[in-house]
Parts: sequence; C-alpha cells; structure tokens
Amino acid sequence: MNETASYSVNLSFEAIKLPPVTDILVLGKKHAQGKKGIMESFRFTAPDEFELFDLDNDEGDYEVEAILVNKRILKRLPVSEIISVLKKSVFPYVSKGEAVKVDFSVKINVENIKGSIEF
Amino acid sequence: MTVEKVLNRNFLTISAFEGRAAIEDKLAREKFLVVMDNNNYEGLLINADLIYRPHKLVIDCLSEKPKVDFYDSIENTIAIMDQYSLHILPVFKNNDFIGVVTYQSLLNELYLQNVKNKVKIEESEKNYKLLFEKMRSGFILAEIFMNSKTQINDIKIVNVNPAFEEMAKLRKNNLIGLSLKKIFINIEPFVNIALRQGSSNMTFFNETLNKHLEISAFSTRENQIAVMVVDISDRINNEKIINDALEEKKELIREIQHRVRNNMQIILSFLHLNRMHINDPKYDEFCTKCINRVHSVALVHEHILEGNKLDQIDMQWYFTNLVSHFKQFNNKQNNNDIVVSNRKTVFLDMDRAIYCGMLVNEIIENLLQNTVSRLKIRKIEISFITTENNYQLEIVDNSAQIIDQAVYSQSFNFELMNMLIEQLKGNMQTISENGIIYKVLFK
Repeated sequence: MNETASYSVNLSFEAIKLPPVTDILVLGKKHAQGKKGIMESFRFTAPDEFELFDLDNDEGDYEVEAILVNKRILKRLPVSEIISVLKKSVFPYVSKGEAVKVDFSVKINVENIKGSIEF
Repeated sequence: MTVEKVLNRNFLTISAFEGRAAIEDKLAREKFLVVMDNNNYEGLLINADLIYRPHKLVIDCLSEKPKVDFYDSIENTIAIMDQYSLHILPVFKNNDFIGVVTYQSLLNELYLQNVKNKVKIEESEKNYKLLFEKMRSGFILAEIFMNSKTQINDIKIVNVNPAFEEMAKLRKNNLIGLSLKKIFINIEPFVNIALRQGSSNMTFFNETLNKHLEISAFSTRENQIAVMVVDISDRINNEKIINDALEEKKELIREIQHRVRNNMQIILSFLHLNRMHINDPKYDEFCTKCINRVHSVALVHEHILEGNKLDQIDMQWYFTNLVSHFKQFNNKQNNNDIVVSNRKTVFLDMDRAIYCGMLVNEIIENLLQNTVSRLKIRKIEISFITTENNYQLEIVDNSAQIIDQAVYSQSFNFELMNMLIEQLKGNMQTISENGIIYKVLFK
C-alpha cells in the first residue's frame, strides 16, 4: 500500500531594514549577544552609525548593561539627557537577557528669536 | 623577589571574536586562555568569566583583571590576587603582555624562599653562636637602666661568653645580673659615649681583674650595649720589654758616641797643643788643616750626643757649627765672611753627613788657598737642600779668582774633594764665571 502526503503553505512578506534598530537599542544584562558582539555586528550592517555606552557600572537598580545610540540622536541631545529619559521611561521595563528596541524621536522647538534691523 | 621567577610564558591564545562554545573545552583543559585580537592582548579568560558573563562571544565574556608589572614583588601580587579573588593574573613589561602568574606558583616560590631564608638564618645564628663561644676576646651584653634621658642608673650584665668568664674568673650564672660598674668602675662615661656616638674604645688597667684591658662598646639597640673586652696585658708587658731594650740600646750607642767624641777631643787637644809650639807658618797651616778635618768628624758625634736622633744629622746645625769653628781657627779669616743659608732643615745619615762636612772643609780651604778675592771682603755662602730625588750642596764664592789653574786643580784639597764626592756617589759641577760656584749632587 502506497502512503501519500500533502502540504499547504501560508505566507506573507514585507521589506525590513538592517539593522532592525534605527534609534536606540537597550541591552539587558546577560544577553546572549554581549555588547561587544552586538556592536561588532552593527559595525558591519550600519558602519559608523551607532555608539556604544557601557552602563555596567552605572548606579541604579536596572537590568541594563549597555545602550547603542544612533549618532544622529546624539547630535541633538547629549547622552546624559538620553540616559536620563531612558532611565525614567524604558529601563524599568527591561529584563535580564533581553534586548529592547527603542524608537526615539527628537523634536526641537526654538521660540522667541530676537534681532535688530538696521536701515 | 619579583614575579619574574614564576612567570609562565607557555599559554594558549584564542581570538577575541570566537564563540564561547568553540573554546569551552579548551578552557576546561587549560584553566585559562589568553585572548588576542590582531596580535593585541585583549584579556585573560578564566572559567568564572563564562559563568558570570554568559555571552556568545569571547570578547563579551572577558572581565577586566589587574595587571602585574614584571618588576612587582611576589608578596604584592599575592595581595592583589587575594583582594580580587583571582588565581591568575597577566604580567606586563613596558606595557607589553609577556605571560601570566598563578597564585599557586607564587605561593610555592614564597614558601621556597622562606625555607631558604630560614636555613640561612639558622646557619648564620649557628656561626654567630660558635664565634661567641670560641672567640678569645671577652664579650658582654648589658642592659642599661636610665634615671632620666641622659643619666645612667645601672648597667646590668645580660650575657657573657666563655672568654669573659675566664677573664673574670667567675661563672656565667654569677655574672648575669651583676652590675657592670662593679667590674669596670669608671665605665659610665664610656657607655655614655657609646650611646651617643654608636661606639667607643678605651685602654686601661683594671684593678678588679688585675689586667690591662682594651674595651670597645657599641650600642646594639635602645638601652642595650655590647662590650668587647681584650686582655692586652701580655702586649703591654712585651711593649715595655721592647721599649726598655730600645732605651738600653740608645743608651749604649750614646755611650759609644760619648767615648768616640772624647777620644776625638783628646786628639784635637793634642793637635792644638802641638800647634802652640809651631813657629813655622807652613807647619802651622798644616796643623790647622788637620784640626779642621778632625773637628768636622767630631762635630757629628757631638750632634748625636746632644740630639734625640741617633743616626740623623741636622745639616743646618752641622754646617753652622762647622763654619763657626772654621772662623775661629783659621788665620786667613780676617777679611772673609762665610755664611750658611737659612733654608729648611734637612736631615742626613751620619756617614754621608761626615763626607759632606769634610767636603765643605776642603772646598773652603782650597778657595782660601788657591784663589784671591776681587772684592775687599770675600763672601762664601753654603746651602744644602733636598729635591725630589737628590741632595744638593752648593758653595758660592762670588768674588773668587783662581791664582794658578794648575796649582788649584792639582792641590791636595782638590784631590780630597774628588775622593769625598766618590764616597757620596755623587758628582760636582764647578762654574767659574764672576766667582766660583761648586754644586754637588748626590742621591
């Protein structure tokens, strides 16, 4: 008696960006990929775009080892400010062994620009 | 003692970007791995790194470890390892990684060194004990008890060696605890010097021990001194015997000189008596010359009798006395001025001093007999100096003119002058230009 088999496939597809992170990556402690390994892979996929900040010795009760920040954001905000925002809004939600992608958009408003005109 | 001795240069290296799975077996086998990236040292990987840093790449697993300098001491390195709870550390020389040191190897080396040092100390102690027991000088260790910062209350004996027991004729048990002041009555100022300056020495006769002693004390630590005692009674006695013998010898030589001088004085007296009965000027002159020659020898013996030195003649004294006698007994002295230059005193042995004295005698005789003076008053100057290797006798007559060269150079005085120079193993230079200069050089 001959056995028979059949199959069905469901699929969907979309375009992705490499690396999958565009703004900030928060790396939890004891993540399988360590900070240097991750940074090395970013160096291949987005050369010179990201900067690594080690938070191993940072004070605070967080499970965060390091952050990788797009240099575009660093041009608009100092890193201390970025970390301060992340500590408040992101770090409390990061677990050990986890890597979290953060979309971080910076909008800058400038008001009350004054000057004088000579006639 | 540096880590150099225990440096391990045999190690396995892995790449910084290797996966942990690939190196886990190696690490289990080797206990540590040296992580390199493009020939640059990245770190030292140990098992604890994989446990506490469970990443996938070796570079992420690495933890920072203290660096040991090649010249660091073993003791310091062990202290660092204890502080960081590490059993292995990387070693650097001029910032270059050169190897590793392990806790066990450091401990082993330290233990080995301690054992070696202990053996050395034991050997040294043994040698010192042997020296202490066998040395012929007495040795005392004493404790000082002070009333105030500077005033000594008592000095008590703590330990002595067998040589001092023998000197004191007392057993060690009886000496320990005894006050040093009881043995050496005036020791306190001496100990004070030793305490202030570190050491002091003195030689004295000790009535308690009935011995001549030479003692030296040195401070060993605060309020403790060590005293070395040497019995120099035999040496002092021998020195006394030698000094007595020397004094006796000097006395004998003086006695001989005394007798020689007396005999010469007798000869001189006879010659003077004889001269008084001579009317012929020719024989008178002959007799005067003989008196001068004998006197120049007798004067040396007189010097020895008067002076402290038995074989050294003060040539300044000798020539001054010689000239004085010459002036007194020579008839031709009326218009002559003979002087001895006042130079630094030179001493010469007796034999050569006599030759020099006779030579001066003959030169002056020859000058007065065979030359005339161009000046109204003739001046003859005698000087005797010593240079680095030579003696120089110089007689200058700045107005002499030779009457007859043949008579002058064939005279008996001239013959004697040459004989005396030969005896001195020297040479004579005569310069006849505006007077006559005699320059005699000898060694």
